[in-house]
Amino acid sequence: MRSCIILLFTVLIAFSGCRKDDPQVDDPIVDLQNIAYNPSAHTIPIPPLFPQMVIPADNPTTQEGVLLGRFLFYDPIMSRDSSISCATCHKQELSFTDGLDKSIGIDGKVGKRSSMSLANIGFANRGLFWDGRVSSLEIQALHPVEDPNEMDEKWPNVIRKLQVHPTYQQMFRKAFGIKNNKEITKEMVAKALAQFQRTMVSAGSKYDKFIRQEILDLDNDEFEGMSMFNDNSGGALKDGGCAHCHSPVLFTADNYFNNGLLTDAQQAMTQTRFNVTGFNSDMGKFRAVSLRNIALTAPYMHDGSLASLDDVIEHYSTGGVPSTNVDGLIPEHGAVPTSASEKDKLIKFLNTLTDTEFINNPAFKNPFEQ
Amino acid sequence: MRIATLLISMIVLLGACEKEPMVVEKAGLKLTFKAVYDSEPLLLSRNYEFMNGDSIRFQRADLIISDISIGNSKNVSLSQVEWLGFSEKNADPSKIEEGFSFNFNDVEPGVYTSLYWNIGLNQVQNRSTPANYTFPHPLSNAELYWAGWNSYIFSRTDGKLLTESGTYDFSYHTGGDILTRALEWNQNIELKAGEVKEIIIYIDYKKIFVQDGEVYDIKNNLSSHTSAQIAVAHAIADNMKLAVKYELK
Ligand code: HEC
Ligand code: HEC
Repeated sequence: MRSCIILLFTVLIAFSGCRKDDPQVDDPIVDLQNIAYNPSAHTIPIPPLFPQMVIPADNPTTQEGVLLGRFLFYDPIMSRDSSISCATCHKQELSFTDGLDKSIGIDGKVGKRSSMSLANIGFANRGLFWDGRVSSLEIQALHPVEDPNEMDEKWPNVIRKLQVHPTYQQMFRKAFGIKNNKEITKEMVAKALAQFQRTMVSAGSKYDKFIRQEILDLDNDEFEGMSMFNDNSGGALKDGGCAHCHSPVLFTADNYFNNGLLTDAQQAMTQTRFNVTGFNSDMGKFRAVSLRNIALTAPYMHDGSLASLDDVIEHYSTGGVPSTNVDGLIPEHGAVPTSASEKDKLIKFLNTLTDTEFINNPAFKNPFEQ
Repeated sequence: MRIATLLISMIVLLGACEKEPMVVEKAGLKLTFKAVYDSEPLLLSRNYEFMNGDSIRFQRADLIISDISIGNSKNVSLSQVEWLGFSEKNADPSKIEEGFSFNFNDVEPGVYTSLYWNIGLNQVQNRSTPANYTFPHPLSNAELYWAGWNSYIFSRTDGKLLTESGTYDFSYHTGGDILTRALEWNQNIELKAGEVKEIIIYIDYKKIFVQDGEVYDIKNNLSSHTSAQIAVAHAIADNMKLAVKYELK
């Protein structure tokens, strides 16, 4: 424990010492081969009833890789003016969202979309971002740095800043076995970030404890809300149909749907799944994201247009706006909960998906503040 | 000189091969499943002419199929589970002719008299859940599992009926052991050693709703999700069985 603290302390000193470094183009080559490269496997525990996580063969999870990824995630070194880190828009206490309708990046620039929760992101197999335009965490991690609305930095600059950074030199050596500092690449940065994000498993909610039978029951209202969510009340309650697109246990179908947020005209002016595939059937579609920790991630939808869960349920009970490609499971005349007490029950169920263990898990906290 | 060495070694190698025990050559069978609407390849989100002046458009068209085998005196199992995800494949106009092909290259040559398969899963398979499988196994897909039924969703046929009086969203899902449908095609299928034979299996989405001129009342039976709508699910599962056509290439 004590050595850990000393280590962290040294790391912190090293970091603060280096922050202001202005990297030179002809930085010296630092041989790192005297530092042991002996990464230890990090097994991501898969909770009961969860699917297996698919981990790319060329990026096995290691303790050293996860630690490096965690430092990078919280380090504003990745942005042009050292003001923004991944954690600026992905805050642990908000299940790694930012509480804004549209994310705010460098120079106060407002982005096009709302930030996304990273809880259980390692289980996503069918594309990332609201429109699924990237296929893996390794590819996704390359995006924010050069996004002018986010970190607005050039990768060669980030790499140079990392290459001259004594602590990162060591961490990259330990995680990826580089021989010298010049071997640090953006792909390694992305791999480390992906490794860290895969460890963000959330399975400690009341709902999880219920399905694992660690607690015997949900409250009556919560239980009835769950029945509506799953269309499972045998006709006693209105069916929400939610589970079709937000399938348990991850509460996402890992797929794209048109849930009636935009009219045809609005869809034509918005980047949706259609802009990724070019297929008419994808008009107006977005990823049906996980509803885990949903009580923490307001405002809702890709554009943050719905401020509260009340607004979300209201949206579904009215069927949203009509359009050519709106999903038939979002019917204007549907059986979606409509009475105040039904809506209340559904929200109470959604609240059981909040995982306070996850948002307090020390393993995901800012390493610079620990 | 080098060439001579090469030639000699080739001859030696070839000679060695000859002495190996005779390997009985196997036959190949390729099964291709295609979604069509009235014999045209099915394109998602396209309006098709339906009956009585109405149009129909499909938003989802997916099936889980299982226990594919061919038989004569004995049954040869070909595959346990396959996924016909037309929702994704037939969204792409350039792929709608393609269908889903499964190649079985290791079949005992001979004359087979039947092809068997299920739309849906057998009871043993249907006791598993997505947690038992790893992506991209079709049964790892949580979207295809319906906890309320303790079952996979065997088929999804979702879309819109466009009529003069308005648009009707329909959503037919089948699932639960009793909704598995066993199909059988009795036909001589001769598989010769070293040759591949192809069978194309068409699922005609119009036929799911129109059988011998009789039109299914979509407007008054819009979905089949709850136990109260089980009759709808049975009707769709039965019709789907009748919507299948085979072609031996
Ligand atoms: C300025 C705010 C901002 C910053 C900085 C930022 N993100 Fe994001 N993040 C977003 C937004 C907004 C989205 C959704 C973007 C979209 O769909 O186009 C997103 C999406 C994601 C996703 C996809 C999640 C999913 O469910 O598909 C991942 C993963 C992610 N970010 C990780 C990161 C990492 C790693 C970093 C640091 C390298 C980072 N983000 C930096 C705002 C930000
Ligand atoms: C046809 C599929 C579908 C159905 C059914 C559906 N949703 Fe959604 N849901 C989506 C999609 C797609 C999104 C993202 C849309 C967007 O951002 O534009 C979404 C987003 C949400 C969000 C916001 C998530 C976030 O992080 O911003 C909540 C909350 C939600 N749905 C709850 C529900 C509830 C409750 C039900 C049942 C009453 C339900 N959904 C039914 C597809 C669906």
